[in-house]
Amino acid sequence: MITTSDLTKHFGKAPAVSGLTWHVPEGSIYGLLGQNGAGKSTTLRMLLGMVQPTSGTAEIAGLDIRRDSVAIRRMAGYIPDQKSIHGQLRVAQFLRFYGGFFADWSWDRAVRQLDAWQIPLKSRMKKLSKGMNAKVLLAAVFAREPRLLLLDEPTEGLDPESTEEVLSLLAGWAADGDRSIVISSHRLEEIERICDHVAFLQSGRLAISGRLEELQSSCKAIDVQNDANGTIPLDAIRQWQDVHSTVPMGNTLRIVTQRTPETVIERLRGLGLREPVIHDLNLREIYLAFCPRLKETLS
Amino acid sequence: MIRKLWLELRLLFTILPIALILFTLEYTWAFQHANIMYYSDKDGYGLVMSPVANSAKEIESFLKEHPQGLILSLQNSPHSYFLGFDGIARTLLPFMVVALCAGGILSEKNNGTASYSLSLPVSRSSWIWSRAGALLFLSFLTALISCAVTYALAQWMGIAHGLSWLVTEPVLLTLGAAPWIGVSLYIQSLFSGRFDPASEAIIPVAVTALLVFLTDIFLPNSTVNGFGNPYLLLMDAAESVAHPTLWKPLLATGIVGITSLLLAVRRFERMDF
Repeated sequence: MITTSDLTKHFGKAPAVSGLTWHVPEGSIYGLLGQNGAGKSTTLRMLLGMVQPTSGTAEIAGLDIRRDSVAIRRMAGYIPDQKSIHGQLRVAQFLRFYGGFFADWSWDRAVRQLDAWQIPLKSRMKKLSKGMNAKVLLAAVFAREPRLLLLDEPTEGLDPESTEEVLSLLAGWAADGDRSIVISSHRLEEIERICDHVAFLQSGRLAISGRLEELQSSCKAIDVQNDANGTIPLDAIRQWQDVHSTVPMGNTLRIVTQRTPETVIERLRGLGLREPVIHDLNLREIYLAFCPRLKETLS
Repeated sequence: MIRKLWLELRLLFTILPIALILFTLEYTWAFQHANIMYYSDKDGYGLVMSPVANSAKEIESFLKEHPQGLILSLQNSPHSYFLGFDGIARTLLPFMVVALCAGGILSEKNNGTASYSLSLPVSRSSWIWSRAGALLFLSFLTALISCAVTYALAQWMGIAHGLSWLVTEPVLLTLGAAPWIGVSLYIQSLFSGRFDPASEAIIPVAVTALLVFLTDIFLPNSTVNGFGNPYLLLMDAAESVAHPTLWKPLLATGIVGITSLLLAVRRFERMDF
């Protein structure tokens, strides 16, 4: 559905996205993760033509993001990170304004959804909470038939119940045909729940991407106990192939590997260290391992 | 686009014609209570207004100074009512157009609305051209409503005037003010993204209004002098009505309006939201 090649955006001299080469398969729900300023929103905005790429190329369903921007926006739906928009309009006025741009947009469908969420059509957008604004934007998008949804923090500001509703709605929507969703979010547990693919952006670069299951099965943590003399050759281990990162945790060294933990374990045994223990990593642990700046901040 | 613009601007749009009409009524009242003395001779031309109550002495001294001078009043020159409106409207309408141009996609960059609008399937140039078109339409509507009410009031007061005025006056007024739509949008594009949302809404309007003011001052056919001095305003309007020059506002619209709109589109297409 989406293919980017060396996509780069600089704001002045500061790189926001650097050499992003990324593929979003059709029919996938893709989680785009990264700390603030990692380039998630800029990436989504580049795909929709709101931000002009400095270099590189990208296509959505075979359409070039520079040349065919209007056609891309016709087939895609977008929820921005700032949900409080068009504050002077009433909900009904906003829906009419939005719906006027799409031939396949259904007023009845939008109203049905808003009724279910108990959002009155007469309310002014600026009087609604952030979460309700997000719901209005989602109801507007779901009242048509986009092939792709690009959602920037879609559950930001929603209460747990509403979050649940929105996530179910998204998952149900994506399951119905060849529809794709890209969700930019900080909420790892939500991404882990509904996404089948994830990508981590760090400082504008793609740190890791792929199928969630494959990442979880290929990324392992190996905990190895230091001996009394503290002789773990940390610098040497960091240089090993397949060692992504090392995290000293007291007397234990956690080694995060990708693909072949067995090779690393063999080499650790060769160093005469006590029996290493392999752990599976959840998404949060993978995220922390592949976004060291965030990890440093947390620690 | 018209619908969105209407929802954004309906309050301002209601106030503007009312303001124009109120100014006209104020001038009308002044004309009814004063003599207007007009001269055009070797000393140049000018208008002098004096209250009816003590005008005899002033008229005498005026005619001594300008033997060819004319004494006008609302009674013997009913068209002055329309001249007054024309002068006020031609001075105020550009400022009103600038006010109508406030906000919009170029000023919405900081509040997130712009990026959402740009996610809709419309090209950037279409946003600007359709907004300019909608603003032109609203400006014409402002002029038309003001003219219609002014005309109706004139009829009510028993001042006769040709009905064709109701067609030509709004068109001429709109053409005179239209270039400021392009200039406003261009100035908005220059300031877009440079300030916080509140400042970003106000600063371009203030700068463009200042530009309207300065243009009025430094252009030879200044009408802003009349803004401070109603007699000169009348004189300017009289000159315009006596010698209507459609090509001037058309040329101004063509050169200033379209060029600035093209520049605004060019800048807008390169912007990041």
